[in-house]
Amino acid sequence: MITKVIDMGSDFSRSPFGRYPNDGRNSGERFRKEILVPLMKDSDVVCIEVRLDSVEQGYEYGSSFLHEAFGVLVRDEGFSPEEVKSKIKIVTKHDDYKREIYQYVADPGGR
Amino acid sequence: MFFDELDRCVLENMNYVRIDASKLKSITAAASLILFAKVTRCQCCAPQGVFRYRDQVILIDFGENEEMERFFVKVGLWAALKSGGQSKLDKLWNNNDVRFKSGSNPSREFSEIISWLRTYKDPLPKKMMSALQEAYLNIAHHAYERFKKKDIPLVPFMYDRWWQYASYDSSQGGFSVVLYDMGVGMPEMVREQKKRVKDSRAVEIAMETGFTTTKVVGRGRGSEDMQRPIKVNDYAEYLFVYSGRGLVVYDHDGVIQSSNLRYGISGTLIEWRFNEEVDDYQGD
Repeated sequence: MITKVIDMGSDFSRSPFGRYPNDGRNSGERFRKEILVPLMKDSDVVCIEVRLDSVEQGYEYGSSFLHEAFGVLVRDEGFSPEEVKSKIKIVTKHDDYKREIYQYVADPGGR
Repeated sequence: MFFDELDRCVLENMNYVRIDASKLKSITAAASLILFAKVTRCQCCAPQGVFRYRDQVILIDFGENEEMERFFVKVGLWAALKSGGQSKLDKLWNNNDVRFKSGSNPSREFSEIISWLRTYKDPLPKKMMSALQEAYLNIAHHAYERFKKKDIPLVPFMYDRWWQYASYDSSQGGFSVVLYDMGVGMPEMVREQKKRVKDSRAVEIAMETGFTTTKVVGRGRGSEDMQRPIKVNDYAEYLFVYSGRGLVVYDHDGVIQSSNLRYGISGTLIEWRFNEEVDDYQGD
């Protein structure tokens, strides 16, 4: 039973960008498929701590990246909102990112 | 109108063009950005079989107008417009003093864009970079899609191509970021779903949260990101969206102007404008 820490800047990219792989190599889809989904499926991992703030100075996350990375876990990958919320812990000093991600998890199909 | 004439002269009638700037008194940020876009497209896309010196296809002649020539040099517009092709555009990235940039791969260019904008204003207005990220994605996902499917394919230079201007006015205060693409425009995209809507209303619809031309559930959030810098920064002045013939201006509370202009723009031009940031501290 372990907690896995994912540091965005060192484990993925200091400037995540876009939704799909066509948007660039640091897309939300790649983050979801290569990092989040394997950990969500690993029963030994009880908590995935995603640290968002180790990005480039001045960088801000776009809704496309956040929705594709987190919201689509529920919409297309078969996880329930409760599973995602209980397993993924978002660590950031920006509360609006946290709110936005959990909003996408609760309602991944738009408003 | 003038800009359409440039396209017609070079890309349809295959003529070299000399722009007489001898009587030019001023040029707005938006007009200078569109001029940059039109000139560089002609320089990079005019057929080489027709033009022996296509990088010189448009010449700007200031005559005795030294004041305006100095202005063009000062803001980097001269460096952006002078004879040259793709390598000239690449070199603009090496000089942060130049207010004009063009690109087509924002994922790769995003770090440089952040560094460039921070030379004008640091810290940047809140949510500015997330707004730009979504604006670039809109260009990549939608703006040129229809042109890519035409019988005469889009030249590679134009794939997902955008042009951008940024400035900070130290005398009057104020920070501007302007982004332009020569894609199909918001009204044409909206009319795929809502056929009889006027351009300005189409722009409003395109900017509404949840509107998407894709059939993928969950898309259509980018427009909210694009409006957020105006909503969350007290010193924000306006967001200006001009697409087709529709012009819509937003402030903190929403739409403050929505009109159909006489002349259209080929593509979409978006400007985020911020006033001088006022320190909340009022003194003792």
